[in-house]
Amino acid sequence: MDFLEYQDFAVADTITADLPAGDSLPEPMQRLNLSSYIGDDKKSLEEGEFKLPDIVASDKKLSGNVNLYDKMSQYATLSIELLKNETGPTANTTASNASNDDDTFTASTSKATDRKKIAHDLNNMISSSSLDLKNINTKNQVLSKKLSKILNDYNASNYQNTIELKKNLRFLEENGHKIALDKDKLISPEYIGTLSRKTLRSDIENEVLKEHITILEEFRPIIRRIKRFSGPLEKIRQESEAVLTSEENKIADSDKTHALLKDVEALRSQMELLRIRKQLLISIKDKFTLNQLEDDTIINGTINEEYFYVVNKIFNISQHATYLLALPEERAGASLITKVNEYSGIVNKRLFNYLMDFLYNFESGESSVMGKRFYQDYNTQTFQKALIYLSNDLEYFKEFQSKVTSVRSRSFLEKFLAQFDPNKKSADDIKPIVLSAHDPIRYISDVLASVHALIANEADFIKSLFKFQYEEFADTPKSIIQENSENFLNGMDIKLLNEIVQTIANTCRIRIEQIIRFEDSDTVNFEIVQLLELYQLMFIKKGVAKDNSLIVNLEALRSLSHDKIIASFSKFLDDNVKKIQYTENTDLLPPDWISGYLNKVVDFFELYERKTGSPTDDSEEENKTLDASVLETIISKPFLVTLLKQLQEAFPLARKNEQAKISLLTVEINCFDLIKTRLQPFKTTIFKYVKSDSNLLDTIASKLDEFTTQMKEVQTKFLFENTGLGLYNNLFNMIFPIDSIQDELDYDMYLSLNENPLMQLDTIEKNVHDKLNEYLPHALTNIQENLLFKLTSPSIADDICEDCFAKLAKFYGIFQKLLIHLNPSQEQRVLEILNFSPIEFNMLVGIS
Amino acid sequence: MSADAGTTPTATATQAPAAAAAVPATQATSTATKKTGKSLSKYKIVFLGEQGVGKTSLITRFMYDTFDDHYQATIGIDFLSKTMYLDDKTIRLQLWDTAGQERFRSLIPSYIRDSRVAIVVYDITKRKSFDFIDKWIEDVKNERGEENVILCIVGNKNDLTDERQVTTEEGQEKAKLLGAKIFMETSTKAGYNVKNLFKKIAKSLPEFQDANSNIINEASGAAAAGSAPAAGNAAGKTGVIDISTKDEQEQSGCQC
Repeated sequence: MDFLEYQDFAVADTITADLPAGDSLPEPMQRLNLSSYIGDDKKSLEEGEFKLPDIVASDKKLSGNVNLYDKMSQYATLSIELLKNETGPTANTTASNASNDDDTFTASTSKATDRKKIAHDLNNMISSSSLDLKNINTKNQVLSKKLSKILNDYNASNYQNTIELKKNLRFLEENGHKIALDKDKLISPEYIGTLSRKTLRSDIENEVLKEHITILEEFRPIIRRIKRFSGPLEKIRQESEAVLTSEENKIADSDKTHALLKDVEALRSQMELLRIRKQLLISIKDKFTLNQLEDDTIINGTINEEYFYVVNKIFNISQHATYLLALPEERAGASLITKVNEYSGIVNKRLFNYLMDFLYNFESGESSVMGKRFYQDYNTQTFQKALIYLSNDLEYFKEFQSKVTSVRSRSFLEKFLAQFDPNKKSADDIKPIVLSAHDPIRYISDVLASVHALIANEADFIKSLFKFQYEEFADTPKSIIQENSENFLNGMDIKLLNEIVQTIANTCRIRIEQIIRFEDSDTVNFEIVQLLELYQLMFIKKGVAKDNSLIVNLEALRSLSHDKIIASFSKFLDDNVKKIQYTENTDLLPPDWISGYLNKVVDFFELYERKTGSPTDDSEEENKTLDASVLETIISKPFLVTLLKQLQEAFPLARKNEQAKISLLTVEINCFDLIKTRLQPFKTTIFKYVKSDSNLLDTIASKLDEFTTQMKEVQTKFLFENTGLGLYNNLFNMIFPIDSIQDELDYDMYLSLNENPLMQLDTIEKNVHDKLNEYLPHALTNIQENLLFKLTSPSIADDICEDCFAKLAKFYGIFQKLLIHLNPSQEQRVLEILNFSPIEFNMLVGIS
Repeated sequence: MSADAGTTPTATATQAPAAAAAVPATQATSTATKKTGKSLSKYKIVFLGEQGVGKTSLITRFMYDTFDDHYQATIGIDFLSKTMYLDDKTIRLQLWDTAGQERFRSLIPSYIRDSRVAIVVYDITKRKSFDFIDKWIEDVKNERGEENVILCIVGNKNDLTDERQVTTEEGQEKAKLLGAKIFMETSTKAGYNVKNLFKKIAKSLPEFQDANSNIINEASGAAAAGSAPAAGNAAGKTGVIDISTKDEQEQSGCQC
């Protein structure tokens, strides 16, 4: 067996080691005689039963014998004897003895299991050999040889080897699968087993070699590198040696060393510089140049995301190129900027063309023909992006803006004008806007509504294209948006809309103005003003600026129409206020123009109320059509100035002639009563919400009161004179006002009158009695029918009447009592002169 | 259709320019209807009715799917536009919201003049607003004639059932009497029937007349199946409202 053979070598080596120096070859050894051994097939050998002879003990006996062979033969003899003694003439006895001996041998062995295995192997060998012992002596010899070899070499060191070997074998067994170890074959007793056992070693060695090669292969690149470095290293070493050797001369030759070090330093820095320069150039190439593909994209590529990517790169190059200008050598920066500008020029031209194509395709309606491709190339996002990029080139950007404005303005104007063309038959039977003589408001309304619709449509269109949502352009170089958004992009939609819209400003103005110019009606003009105000508001709401010429024109038209309203009233006055003449028999009614003018004003006010809603709705709004100045013009001036002047002129003698004064006051009262009555309904509406210093209606009312008071005074005076009491009334009032008399004690104030000849009863009778009795029964009728008959307002007439008679009655009563007080002895006489009792007097003048 | 309808891309009313928004309209509606495929047709719709019936609410519900409880009277005439996607066609509706207040009445005929659709709205809880429908319809007919306009009568505030003063039958009868093609009761507060209304209006437009006849001729199942991809397409487009949803989806009560 191979193992045994391997063992043999080991044994042999061990023996060699034990031999004296110089004797390297092992001596041929006498084979152990095992002829006395008789094998027993029937009795199985059990573990532990075999006892090896006590070799230690026997050693003592053979103290002089140091030969190994002697030892072994002695051991064998002892073993055989033991076998004989203990178990009879069987092979088992021998084994048992051997086992016993083995127990004694445990002193030199440490592990019982190993020993048992070895013993087992040995027994197996012995038993297998014993089978043939009877017949084949040669086999016995071989076995004995092997056994003896084993036993002879069964020392500690050998045992260690065995242990090591077993470990190896165990390791081999555990890792057998890694080297494709066929265990079955290996332990097969057949020839194949023998062969495989024989090749096992070489197999293992092969595997080991392979492993070694693999490991060495890993070292190969390291070695190669080391070898590569070895040359320079060697040089360095030589240099260092040279340096070291020259170290001695260093002190003497220090300048040279310095120079050398400087050279080295210079070379190193040069190398560093070159390296940096190389890096720099590579970076510059990446950052400052376009590759061929990008170059082609810029010139021939479609405007899309890819194109914008390249454009971004150009912008970045442009930004970075400015740094190059700071270099001492300006040429690089300058030439780069020239190149970038060249690219920028191409880009801007292409973007401009793209935007113009987009716009023209839109206008011509080619989109529907071009189909899908069109929508891929022309979409709003690309359009807006292109516009943002174009905003960098102010010239092209402005050019594009003006193109957009002109193109859209033209179509805007065409659409506006198309609605006035009666020959153009619309597919939807939309009536053209036609000026109708009886309905100018409708015409203006139609014009403004069509403008409103056009503006709404245009705003819709413009906003979809020109209202920028910057989050969509996150990858655009920020500088472009930041620089341009403030000036150009923000509110571009509104700006464009305003530019487009103002193209119809004049056309629209002309059409509306032709109505206003020929429209004199205040109400129509008022409706026009309302329309213009409302549409201004709605247009502004749609984004049209207040300073847009359309709005400015509308405001001008509004102002014109507003002026026409005032002019309408002024014209009415101019046409109708003429010099009037009141004769004695006239009814003293207000002038004719008053009622016409009031009708006009009231109609206007009613329309105003209807159109502007309830005052509460408009309380916050500024009243533009009817402000204080307008009311001043249409109310204050005509009534408080023109009318009064006209009436004064109609009664030039009013200051001197009582009758003329009464007539004047009557007309004035009639006029102002009419004015007040007609305007009263607007007291809480128009007159309340028009901000002015004083309420016009109150002024008119106060005027009426003033005239009424004057009338009362005149009428009272007239009454006193007719009854003959006027003289005494004046006299009494001179001493103490009649109105101030509280009780009879006050009558004493007039005691001094006793001395006045006018106060003599005879004089009084002469002055008063007849007149009083003559006039008083007719006084009421006379006043009511003659003097106040011409007052149109019965309430005012009654008021005047009542007031006058009340004053007269009061004076009469006081006069009567005072005369009795002054002439207590002549009471009867007094009652004869003033023959009406106060109650009778009151009854006669119709007061209660 | 308005003569001014023209070159506006299909941006949404919220002004979100999508890629689809680049689809330009043709010069005028008349040409738009003749051209096939991608061109965008515009239709002017005017909302009429007494003050406070819910004209603005109806538009707001359609445009933004919201409802504001606070009433604010419309001043003058308001304009909003919305792109709709229906049956594989895109149209743009221009909605003109008129003021119901008396003082703005004189403006309204000028807007009816070039409208393709007139929606007369009344309040089912106010009999007076219902009675005034005749006057509004007369105004529309005076301006547009009998044939050139699609008349719709809408009874709003359908959710206020306790306060109802006008029955659905009365509304239907009046619609029939006045020749209105569409009658519908809606609730802008509950979001009921609003989409359906606009869907019906869109279907009545000339652009959809051929498509409608095809749908009618086909079996109902096939027609329903046909609407599904349209809905899918619409979902894919931003800023385009899809009104091809089925009626049942609308019946789902209050959204407020």
